[in-house]
Amino acid sequence: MINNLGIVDTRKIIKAIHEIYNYDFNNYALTAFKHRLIKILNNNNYDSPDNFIQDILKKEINFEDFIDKILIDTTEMFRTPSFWREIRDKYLSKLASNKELKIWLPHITSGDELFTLEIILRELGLSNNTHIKVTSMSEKKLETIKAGGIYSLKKMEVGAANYKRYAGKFQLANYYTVENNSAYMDASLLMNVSFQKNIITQDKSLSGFKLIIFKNHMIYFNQSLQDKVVESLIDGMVIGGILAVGSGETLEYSSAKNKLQILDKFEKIYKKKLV
Amino acid sequence: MEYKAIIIGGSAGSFQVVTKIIAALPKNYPLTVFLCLHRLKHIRSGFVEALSIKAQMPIEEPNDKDPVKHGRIYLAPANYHMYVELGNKFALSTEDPVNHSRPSIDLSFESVAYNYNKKAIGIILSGANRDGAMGLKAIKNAGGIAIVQDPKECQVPTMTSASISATKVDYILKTEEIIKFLLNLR
Repeated sequence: MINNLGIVDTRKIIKAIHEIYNYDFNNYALTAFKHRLIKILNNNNYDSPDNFIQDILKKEINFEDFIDKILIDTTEMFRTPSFWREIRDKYLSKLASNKELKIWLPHITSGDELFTLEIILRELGLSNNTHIKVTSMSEKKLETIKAGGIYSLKKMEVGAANYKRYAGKFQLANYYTVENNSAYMDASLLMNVSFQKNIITQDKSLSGFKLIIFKNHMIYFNQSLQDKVVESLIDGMVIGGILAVGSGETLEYSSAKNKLQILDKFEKIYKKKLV
Repeated sequence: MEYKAIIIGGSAGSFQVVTKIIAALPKNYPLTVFLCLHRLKHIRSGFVEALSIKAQMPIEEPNDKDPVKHGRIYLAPANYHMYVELGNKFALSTEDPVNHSRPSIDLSFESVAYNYNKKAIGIILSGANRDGAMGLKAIKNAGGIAIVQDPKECQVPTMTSASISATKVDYILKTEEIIKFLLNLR
């Protein structure tokens, strides 16, 4: 059992992954990344980082599984209910008023925000008027989410409590079914979604979105990677478009902060300026 | 100064103790004080405001990547884990709860132990679960000082007792003695 991983070994693993698979984790925030690596090593019964590195170099790891497990997917549906209320009451109807509302959820890891947003849109009657682009570096995650995801009942309990605080129209249980102690979200919520593999930290940005929701992802990047990603997000937005990040995140240190105007300091909602 | 950081972990029954401790620290207290307290995850405002009424030092809930400064108190925000990252900046995380807790005392303490080594002081207060025991052990193993509130004084002694079983702690102290210890560090 590995309890800790030094910075040198962590760097070696990152280097090997980069060399063999061309996924670059060099600028990920270290603490959380190390926690995930330790978990992966232990779940796959490695007793030393060196053996893992050897297997990477021999291409003997299940890489899709590695990507699936390295991404932190432990957020909640309707996490920070006051944010989702704000989005519902102040932004969505207004943004959807003239033509189709294009929304981007980049770097998706769990589906929580996607299903949250879809439930809100359905309750507002805006689903048909909206197109959501969902991107992720993990094809495995995209496939799972496309089919409605698989969630623990414990997670749904947390989500249901959040939904209640959000003050939704019904109950969260209206949107999922339970089978064999797992919850599956109603995949018909996703009629207006297109899924695409895209590595937000490396690939070319998409464009034309009025709303980007990117909550609690930048906390896993260091400042220079955050700078790069924020530039991509800004490229992805139309002028006047809205960018929402996590309640504990700030774009104050971002090199692109002068391209954005803060609309809500508490909920961390920004608008793309006409520069 | 021999020490640079104090980290305090607490849960049920710790609010009044924390309030007393931070009220006693003078405005120009030179160390960084981290507070990792179990709290209702959906209540984001009010806690730091309640503590700041009593504190003389500046107190805040950090954003991710805020710089860690001396002479300040930092409270782990609701529903995030709080770490000190390389380059002396805060990192927040939404990784799984540990011991049902986010923020987790263990994770914050481990991060402080890793970054401050023997310049860290860890203090575990009253609480109803076992969070903090592994974290305090990490502080001790890194050469820092491990302090536990006297379980006899705690409203709920589970957390302090767990810490005492897990680690050979340096001091078991009542609230007033903890305060005296921290003031004598100057």
